[in-house]
Amino acid sequence: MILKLRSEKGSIMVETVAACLILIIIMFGFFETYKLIDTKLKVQRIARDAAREAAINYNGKGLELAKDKAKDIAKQYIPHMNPSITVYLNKVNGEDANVVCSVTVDYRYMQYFKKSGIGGRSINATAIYPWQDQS
Amino acid sequence: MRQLFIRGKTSLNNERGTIIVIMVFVVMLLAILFAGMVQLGIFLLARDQVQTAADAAALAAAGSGTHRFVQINVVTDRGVEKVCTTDEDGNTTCECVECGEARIEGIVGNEADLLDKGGWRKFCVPRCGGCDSGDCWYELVRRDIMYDTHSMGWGTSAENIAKVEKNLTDATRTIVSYISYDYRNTISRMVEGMSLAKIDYMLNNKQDWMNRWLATKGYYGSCPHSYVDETIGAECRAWYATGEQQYRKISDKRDIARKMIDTIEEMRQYNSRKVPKIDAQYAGAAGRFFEANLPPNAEDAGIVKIKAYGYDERNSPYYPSIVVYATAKIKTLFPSLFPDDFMTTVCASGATSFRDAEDQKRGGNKFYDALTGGKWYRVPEDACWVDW
Repeated sequence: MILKLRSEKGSIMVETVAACLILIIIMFGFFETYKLIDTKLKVQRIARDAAREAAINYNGKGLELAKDKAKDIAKQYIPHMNPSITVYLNKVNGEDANVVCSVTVDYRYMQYFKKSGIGGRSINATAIYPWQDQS
Repeated sequence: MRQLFIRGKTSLNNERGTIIVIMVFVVMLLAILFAGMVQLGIFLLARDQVQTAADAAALAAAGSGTHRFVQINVVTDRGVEKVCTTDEDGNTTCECVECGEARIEGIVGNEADLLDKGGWRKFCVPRCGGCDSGDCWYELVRRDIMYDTHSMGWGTSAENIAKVEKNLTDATRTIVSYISYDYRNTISRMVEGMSLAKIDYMLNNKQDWMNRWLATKGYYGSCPHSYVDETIGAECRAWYATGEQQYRKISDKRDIARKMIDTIEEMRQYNSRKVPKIDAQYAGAAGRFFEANLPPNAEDAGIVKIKAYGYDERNSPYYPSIVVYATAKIKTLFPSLFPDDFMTTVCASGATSFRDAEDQKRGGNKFYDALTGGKWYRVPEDACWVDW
């Protein structure tokens, strides 16, 4: 049986709906990309600020302060992401040489549809700062 | 109603396919916008990574191989000497004689050697003892930071050491004259104008002592054989015997001048030592930490300029700090549109921290050990882009 679409009644509606769907998908893409870039930037800043905190408080509780700082900034920047933060001292020739701060976030796509997201990826940043010495 | 025609006589009243056309345009526009957004994201991310690398480099530069340079005064309260004299009846009378204070000002040097390792003690002078054993301490005048040691001085001026030597010589003369309380004026005349070396020679050479002792009464040479007049001879011999008696009294003080001479000599040697010329290490440290944080999203990233506000610019509001300028090329998604990659330049300033000398002096300026307390001195202004 051949179905003849002789009447174009409703075709505008169908096309508009299809166009809107495409636009909505694109807009989601936009938003998700923006969020991904923004998260990457923030993770980078958390690593940097925490490592800096350790470096400028090298002779005291530098590492603890760095971890606290990282947690504080993470709460402000990426409140729902629960990043994994590691701060440790690297030794060179047996002496403390630098402090490494590594921040990793399990980023989930489209979390507004589903809490666990639709797929995801790991975002990480590392900052290596000096452990100062004076003579 | 008048119909609209375009060339070729196509009627625009037929709208079939217009949504597709519009959609193609919209999607193309959005695709361009999307690419632009991604490009901007890559740019911001790479710039942030370069900023992290520059920041780590600046801090490493500001903290590597820095030298604390201090100026101090060393003060010795020489204490109070106990001088005793015994009369013919065997009664002993003691008196306390102030030995005075020796103050050496303007001693400069590396804090690690001068204060942390106790080098300042080399500028303490011998104390007396007896009534009060005295004290020696240092006063902190100022502290600075150097990135190399080329401008670093060491010790104090020769004039300051000479001043201390004169001070010690005067004090030694006083103490020697008080060895015998009853004859202090006589001995004081004997040692008047004498150097430490001459005092030392006299105290350890009986003949020299006796010659000077006799000379105070106008006798020269040896009494027993040199005077025809028996009265004068007897007086001379009596005076000679007293001199011998006084010489015996100084038996436990014979090394007093030698100690002073040795101390001054040691001080001169310590004072004249050379400061090893150590080059600044900030450039190497900055490079290493920049490399360690090398941005993965950037090409040809590197430090292009390092400006140090060190000791030579200690009056600058940016002292002591190091500023690092770094550039990086950022990959473009549109090589045909932008054949040259985007270039970004960032600046990071790292301040060198050290203890505030004024804060350390707040509780009193009398120290015996290394100075590890007090507030951190970290006030330089941000020098980014000032000298770009």
